[in-house]
Amino acid sequence: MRSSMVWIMWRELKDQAQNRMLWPVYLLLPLVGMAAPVLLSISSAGLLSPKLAAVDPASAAIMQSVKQMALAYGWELERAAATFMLRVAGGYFMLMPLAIVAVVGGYAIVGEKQQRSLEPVLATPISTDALLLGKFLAVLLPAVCATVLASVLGAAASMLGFYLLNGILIWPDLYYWAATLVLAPLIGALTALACLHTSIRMQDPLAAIQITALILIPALLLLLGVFGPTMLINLGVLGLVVLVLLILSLCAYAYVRRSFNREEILGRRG
Amino acid sequence: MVDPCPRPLIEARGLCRRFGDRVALQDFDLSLAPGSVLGLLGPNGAGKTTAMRILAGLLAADAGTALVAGHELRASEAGNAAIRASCGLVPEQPGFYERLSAIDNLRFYAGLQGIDRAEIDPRVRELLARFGLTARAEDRVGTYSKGMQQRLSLARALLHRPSILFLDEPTAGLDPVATADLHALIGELRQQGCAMILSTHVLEEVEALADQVLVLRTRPLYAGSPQAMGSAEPGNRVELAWDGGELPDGFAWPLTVTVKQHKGEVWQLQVESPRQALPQLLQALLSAGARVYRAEIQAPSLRERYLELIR
Repeated sequence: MRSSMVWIMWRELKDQAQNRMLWPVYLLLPLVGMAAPVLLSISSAGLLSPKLAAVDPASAAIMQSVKQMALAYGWELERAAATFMLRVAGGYFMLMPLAIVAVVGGYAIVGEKQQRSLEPVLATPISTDALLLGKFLAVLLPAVCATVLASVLGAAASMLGFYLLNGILIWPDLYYWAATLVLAPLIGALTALACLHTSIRMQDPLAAIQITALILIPALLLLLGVFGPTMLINLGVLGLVVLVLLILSLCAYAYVRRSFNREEILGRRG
Repeated sequence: MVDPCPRPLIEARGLCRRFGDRVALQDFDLSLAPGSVLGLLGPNGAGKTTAMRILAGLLAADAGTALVAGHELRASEAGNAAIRASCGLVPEQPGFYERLSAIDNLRFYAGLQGIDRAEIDPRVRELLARFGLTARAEDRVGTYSKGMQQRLSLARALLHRPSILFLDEPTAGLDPVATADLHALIGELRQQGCAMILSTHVLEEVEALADQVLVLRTRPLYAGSPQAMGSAEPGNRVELAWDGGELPDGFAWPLTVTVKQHKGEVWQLQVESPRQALPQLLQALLSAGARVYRAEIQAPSLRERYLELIR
């Protein structure tokens, strides 16, 4: 099974690399992602403005959090503000795989149905698990790699930029890395499975991508909007979210596996 | 030494399949020995593709049993992996990954067939050469003509040296040279003991290539040799030819004779009881002065018999 899964991944990745429509997705989002931590950390001084805190209660609350952070860790206020803003940048990276996967994943099965390439694949001894896992990983891995690479480069660039401007060495904290290295892959996995399911049910690639964009992404964003701010201040909630995402991903895979009916796919065209 | 009574590679009994309320295949029986070719005939939607997909382990049958390449056909996907490994499929639509090159497409399918990594490239190149695609091996399949894609589809089906080959309208879109090459290939594979099921609408192809023919319209309407199908029943058509081809003066066809065609010196007639009628007709023509040089009762052709069965 492993060998077939690797072949499916190989073919999918090769096909993605040849698909020029996907290049902007793979290039643009990581570039914006790299710029986000740099811009946010450099502009973090604005968080400390007493004028802003005086007119905007939300800014005042953020300023209070930054002050508490500086006090707790014994940091300069500027470093605490920059670290806080890096956490916000971590939120962007958390959502980056979602955006990439939504574009690539919607096409995974329905694209094959359209070009009639599924029948020769299903005529080989490949198992359904090898086929689905190969596709799932081929959709997820490039998105996760792009996210991790962009977050590491973005962190390095913001450290360098902040040091050159303020003479203070900053370092993204646990929340930044948790968002990038743990939550981002899990959210990406869940999105990839949702896309695979949509792709299995649909007959038209554009409809599959539209459904993903109009229903799945807003639902996931809503979920993150509710949990996101809490995750930034509480490690316990972060752990719980990771656990929930893991369980959801496993359930989603089982559901996708059940939805993929070889006979139905062939019969629809037969 | 060739086994005079080889065990059939396919032995199917009473296969049935429905899609919802629609019956796609019913009472399908088949026995196919190594090195034999079955021509599968029938109109569109007759169940030919369904029958091939069931026998190739892609679809399960609702009823009936089948033994394919020594493996029992099961309802589960996992149980049929061994059958799929023994079969090669040339589908009606080649279904290649158009952004990938021909060589990458074949590498991919060779990998899925479980061919050892070290053997993949030599085997792929061997097949590309065999089908005359070496010069375009690195080109994207999307740039290939339909005929080239069809040849590549054949190469894909043969990657793992299957013992059974399913060909679903393989000559559709092929030029005459490519068609002749395919026919030669079928002959070669037959020599090597590969059993083939050839679904086609080209009756001449079945006549030329198949040892057995099965006419399907959801259920089998005829099963036997193509030669026996063509002459299964005596025909009622008589062909006569004589010098000049004009009716002699004072001669008229009897009322039991219908002229179907008259071209030059050749007359094609429809006659009731031709065995009794032909000597009388000949005598009448000779007496009227016609110099008859041909007189024969014609058996219906495969095409006529097929149309008769289908209608």
